[in-house]
Amino acid sequence: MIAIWYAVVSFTLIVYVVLDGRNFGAGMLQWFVAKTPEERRQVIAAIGPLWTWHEVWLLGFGGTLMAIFPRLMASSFAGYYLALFLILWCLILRGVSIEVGGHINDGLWQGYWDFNFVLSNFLLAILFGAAAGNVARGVPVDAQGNFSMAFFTNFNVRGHVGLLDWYTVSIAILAVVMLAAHGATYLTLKAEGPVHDRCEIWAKYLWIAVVPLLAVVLVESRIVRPDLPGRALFNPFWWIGLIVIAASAFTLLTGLTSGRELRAFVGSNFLIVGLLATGAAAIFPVMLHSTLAPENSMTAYAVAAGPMSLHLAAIWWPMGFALAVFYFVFTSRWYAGKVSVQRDTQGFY
Amino acid sequence: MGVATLQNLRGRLESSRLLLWVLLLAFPYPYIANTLGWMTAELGRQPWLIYGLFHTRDGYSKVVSNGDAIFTLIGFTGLYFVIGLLFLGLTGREIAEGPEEETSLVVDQREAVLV
Repeated sequence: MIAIWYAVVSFTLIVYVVLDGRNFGAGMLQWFVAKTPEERRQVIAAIGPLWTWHEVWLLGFGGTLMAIFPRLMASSFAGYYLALFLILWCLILRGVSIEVGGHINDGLWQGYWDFNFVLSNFLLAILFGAAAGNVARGVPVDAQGNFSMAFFTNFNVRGHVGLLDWYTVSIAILAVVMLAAHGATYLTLKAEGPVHDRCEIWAKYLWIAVVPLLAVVLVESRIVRPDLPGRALFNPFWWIGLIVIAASAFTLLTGLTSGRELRAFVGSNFLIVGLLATGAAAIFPVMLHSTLAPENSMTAYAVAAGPMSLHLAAIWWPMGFALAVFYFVFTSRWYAGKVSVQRDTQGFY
Repeated sequence: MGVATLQNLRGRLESSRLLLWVLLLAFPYPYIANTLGWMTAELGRQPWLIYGLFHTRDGYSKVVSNGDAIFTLIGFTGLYFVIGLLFLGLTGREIAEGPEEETSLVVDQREAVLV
């Protein structure tokens, strides 16, 4: 039962990363793929009506975490305090940039908000990448289940670690490149004209860059957490994740080389899903690994809520999930199709 | 509100001057009601976080320092101040421009992307 809830919590977070990841990527690339003010508005129009419902999944993740694993949430939200606030501020800044930029038709005004937009998307990709690195590496959880971290300590991965060290920074770089590639793949599907053509080239080079970075991170993970692959070999989800990675990498590759945009985008989505699912399966049942002492690590079984809460969650969670999926289908269909510089099909952004 | 709905149903809302003034001046009340409602709920529940179950003094994070809390409070104050200014500025601009003329509803589609 706890294992199912662990899968549910991971699932909501993975869906969020995949959905909003394409906005981070497209946002980061706005500088590079859009040369004129019209094209910059086009990039924003490609994600403008959609990013709010992507954030529904982040809220869903937080809510599920609070309902199912309250002790984990209490410990990690306090421990990651400043990092979480940075993420929140970047999300607010990005939202404000999207909403406010188009209101005044002035070069300086729009340029300023576009700058904020690109910067906050970069920071979000870095922060979420570093957060993923922290989950994989572990945090200095003490015997009471508390931890607090500085941004940097000695840049090492054992003992009293900081938020950033060589391992989490390398994962943050991987996250930036991979989400940029994901965003470029999305923009080839969603945009037309010069932005589409530039994104096609960017997508190819960025996905090529992902391969060595991913290899480096895998080797590093083996060094940082030598205990990990052992348990994962007996976890069916880990194997399913590997199959998803293989299948989606193939889909992405054939989609990119043959210019079939939807195929490439589907592959790109599931590649990220597969990678994150494999990671989530590999660390199970430990949700927060302690770098101080292994016995301080918080497992899903130890931090789960009581049976009463889980029972209530089993009733309410599917209802919320059904609503979120309905919202997902509705908005995707409503805003389907390409955005162009000439036709404003996506509302006023 | 009731009177306004009645007048609207009778098709006379736009011609009742006094009522329109009352409605215009009533615009802050939803904000005030919303804020005061929150404050009543949050302050009225003290010293409990969850009424009857959990004290506020037991509920704070021990690993978050005063400095962290003050830093984020200042950050939020600044952020909301800027967003508030943006709201006032942009809303003021819209109001100053006045309602659109009927003819301008046919917008040049190229311009619509820019707006």
